[in-house]
Amino acid sequence: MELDPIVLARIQFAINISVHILFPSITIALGWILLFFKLRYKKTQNEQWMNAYNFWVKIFALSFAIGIVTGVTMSFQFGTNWPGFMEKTGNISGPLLGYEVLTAFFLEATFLGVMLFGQKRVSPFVHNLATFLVAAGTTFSAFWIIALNSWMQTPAGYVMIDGVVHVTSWWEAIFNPSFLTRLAHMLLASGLTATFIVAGISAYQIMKGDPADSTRKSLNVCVVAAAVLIPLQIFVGDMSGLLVREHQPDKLAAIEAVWKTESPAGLSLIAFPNEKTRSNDFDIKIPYLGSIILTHSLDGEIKGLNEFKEHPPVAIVFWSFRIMAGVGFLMLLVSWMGTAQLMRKKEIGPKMLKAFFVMTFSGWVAVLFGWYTTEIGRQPWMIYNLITTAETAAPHGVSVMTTSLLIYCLIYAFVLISYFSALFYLANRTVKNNIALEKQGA
Amino acid sequence: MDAATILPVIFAGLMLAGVFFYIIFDGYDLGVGLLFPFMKKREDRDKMIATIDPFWDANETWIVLGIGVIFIAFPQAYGDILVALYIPTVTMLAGLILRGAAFVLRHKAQENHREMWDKLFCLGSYIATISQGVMIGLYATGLNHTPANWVFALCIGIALCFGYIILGSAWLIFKSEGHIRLFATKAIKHSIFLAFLAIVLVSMAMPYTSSIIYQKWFSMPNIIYLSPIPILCLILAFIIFKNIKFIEKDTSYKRDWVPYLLSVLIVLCTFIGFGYSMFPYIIIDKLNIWEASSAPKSLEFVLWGVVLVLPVILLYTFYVHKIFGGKIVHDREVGY
Repeated sequence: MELDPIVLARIQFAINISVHILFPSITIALGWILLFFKLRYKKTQNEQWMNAYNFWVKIFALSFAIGIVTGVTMSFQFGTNWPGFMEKTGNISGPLLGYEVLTAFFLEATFLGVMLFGQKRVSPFVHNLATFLVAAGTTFSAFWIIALNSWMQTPAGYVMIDGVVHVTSWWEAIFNPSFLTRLAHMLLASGLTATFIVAGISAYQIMKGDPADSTRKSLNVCVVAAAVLIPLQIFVGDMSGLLVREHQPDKLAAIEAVWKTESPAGLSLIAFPNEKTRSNDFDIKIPYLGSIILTHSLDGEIKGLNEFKEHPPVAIVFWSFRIMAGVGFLMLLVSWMGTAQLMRKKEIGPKMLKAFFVMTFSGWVAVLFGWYTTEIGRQPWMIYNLITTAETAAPHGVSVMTTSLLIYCLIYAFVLISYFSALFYLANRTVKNNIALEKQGA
Repeated sequence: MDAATILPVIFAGLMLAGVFFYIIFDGYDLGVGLLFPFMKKREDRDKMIATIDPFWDANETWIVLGIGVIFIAFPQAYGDILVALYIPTVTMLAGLILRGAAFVLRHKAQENHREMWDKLFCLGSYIATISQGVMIGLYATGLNHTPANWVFALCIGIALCFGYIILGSAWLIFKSEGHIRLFATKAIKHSIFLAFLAIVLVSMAMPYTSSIIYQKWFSMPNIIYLSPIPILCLILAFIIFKNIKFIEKDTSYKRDWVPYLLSVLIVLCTFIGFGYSMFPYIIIDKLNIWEASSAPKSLEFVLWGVVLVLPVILLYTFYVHKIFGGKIVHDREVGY
C-alpha cells in the first residue's frame, strides 16, 4: 500500500475507532456491574459493596467521558473522511445513528450527572434508577450502532436507486441477517472486557497489599462472571463464523487463508499467507477441522480466495482472527481456573492473582483484533457487495491528511497514556486509603 | 404540501434547534473554560467546575444531535460541509478531546499534574471555541476558502469566544456564590461590550464576504421587518447590564438566573437571524434543503422518533437540572 489519501483516511478512521471502541467496550458492561454492586448493597447493607461501587464509578466516569469525546470525533469523521458513505447510504445509516442519539446518548449522558453527583440530592431509589438508566443507555447505544455496522456487513431491506440506497423495510434493515449474533457478540465482548479489567485491577490492588473486603468482592464477582460469559461468547463466536461463511465467503476465506476451494477443508493453526504467490509460505494444518468447525460436518466445503475477483488482505485478517480467538481461549482458561480455585479454597491465590493482572486488558486486545477481522475482512467493500470504500472517500490532499493524522495520533497517545496513569493512580490511592483505614480500625 | 416538501423544512428547524441547544448548553461550559486564565486560585477553578460537573456529559451530547440531524436529513450536504470544513473540524475535535480528558482528569489525576490539566482544559476550550467560530464563519460565506473569508471566519472565532464567555459568566452568576459570582458580573460586563463590538465589525465585513446574506438583510423592505432582531438583542443586553448592578449590590438577590435567561434569548435572536439568512439553503447559494434531503420514507421514520422521544429528552433534561437546582457548592464528598 502506498501513501494515498484513501489509505490515510482509512488509517485515520481506524485509529479513531480503535481508540473509541476501547471505552464503550468497558462502559457498556461496567454500567451493569455498578448496578449489581448497588443492588447488592441495597440487599445486604454491607458497606463493602458501596465501596466497590464508589471506586469503580470513578473509572466508569473516566472511561465514559473519553468515550464521549472520541465518539463525537467519530460522528464528524463520517463526514470529513467518508462523505460518500452518507451520500449513498444516508437513507439507512442516518436514521439508525439518529435513533442512537435520541434513545441512547441523551439518556446515558444526562443520568450520568445524577449517578455521579446526585447521591446527596436524590433518594437511593432514584440513584439506583439513574444507574440503571445509564447502563440501559449504553446498551441501547450498542444496539443501534451494531445495527448499522451489521447492515454494512450484511445489507438487507433496501433497494438501490441511482446509486443511492433506499429503504424498503426497516425491520429487515435493522434485523439484518447478522445483527442479533453480532449484537450478542459485542455485548458479551464488553462483558468480558469489563470483568477482566475489574478482576485485573482488583488483583493488582490485592497484590499491592489491599486488605479491603470490597476489592476481594469485586475480584470474585468478576472472575465468576467472566467464567460464565466466555463459553457463551465462544458459542456466539461459532455462530458468527457460520454467518460469515453464508454471507461473506471471501472474508471467511481470508480468515482461514484458504486460497483454493477445499472440501473437506482443513484448519490452519499457523500460516504465513503470501498475496504474491497466492499461497501460504508456511502452514500447520489440521485436516477436516475446518469443515467440522465452519460447516458442522466432516466434508463441508469452504470457498477459496480463488473464487473472488477482489478479496480482503489475507495475512492481516488471518492473524487478527487468531489473536482474537487465542485471547478468547486464554480467557476461558484463566477464568475457569480462577473460579475452580474460588470454589475449592474460597479465595483466589497469589499465582492466579498474577494471571488476572496480566490479563487485565485482554478484553481490549480481543475486541480490537475481532474488530479488525470483521472490518478489514469486509474490504474492499464499505457496504458489502454494494459500495466500495474507495467510492466514499473524501478528496483531501496527502499533506492535509498527514498533518491531521499526526494531530489525532499525538492527542490519542496523550489521552491513552493519561488514562492508564490515572487508572493506576486511582487504584494505588485506594489501596493506600484502605491500608490506612485498617490501621485505624486495629 | 406533500411530505417531500414539508419534511426537509421540519428537519432544517430541528437542525437549528439541535445546534441552538448545543450552544446554550455547551456554550456555558466552554465559557467557564475560557474564563480559567482569570482565576488564579485552584480552589476557585474547582468551584467554577463544580457548577458544570453534573451537566457536562449531557451538554457535549447536543453537538452530536446538531450534526446528527445534518447527516440524517441532509446527507448530501453533510459530506460537502464537513469536507470543506476539514481543517477547523479537526482542530475543534482536538480541542474537544483535550478539554474532555482534562475535565475528568483534573480531579482524578496525580496531584502534581492537576495544574497541567487546568491549563489544557482552558487551552482545549479556546481551540474548540475558535474552531467552531471559524466553522460558522466559513459556512455562512458559502464554504469558499478565500483569504477574505478566512479573515472573516477568524473574526467570528474570536467573537464566539466573547459569546461563550457571556453564557459562561451568566451561568456562574446563576449557579455560584460569593466572589466567583462577583467575578462573573465583571466578566459579563466586559464581554458584552466586546461581543457587540465584534458583531458590529462582522456586520461591516458581511457585504465583502457574502452578498446574498447582505442583500437579504439590507434591502428594502426587509430591513424594516428584520430590524426587531438586532434591536431586541440590544435591549436584552441593556437589561443584562442593568440587572448586573442589582446582582453586584445584593448578595442575596433572588433573580440570579436573569442574565443567563437573557443571554439564551440573545442566542435565540441570532439563531432566528441566522436561520432567516440561510433559508432555504443548506449550503448558501449552492444547495437547498430539498436538494440535499434524504428520502421522505427515511425522514418519516426518524420523525416518529423525534416526536416521541425529544419531548422525553427535554423532560428529563429539565428534571436533572431541577435536581441540581440552585447554587452548586463545591464539595469533594458529593462527586466522583
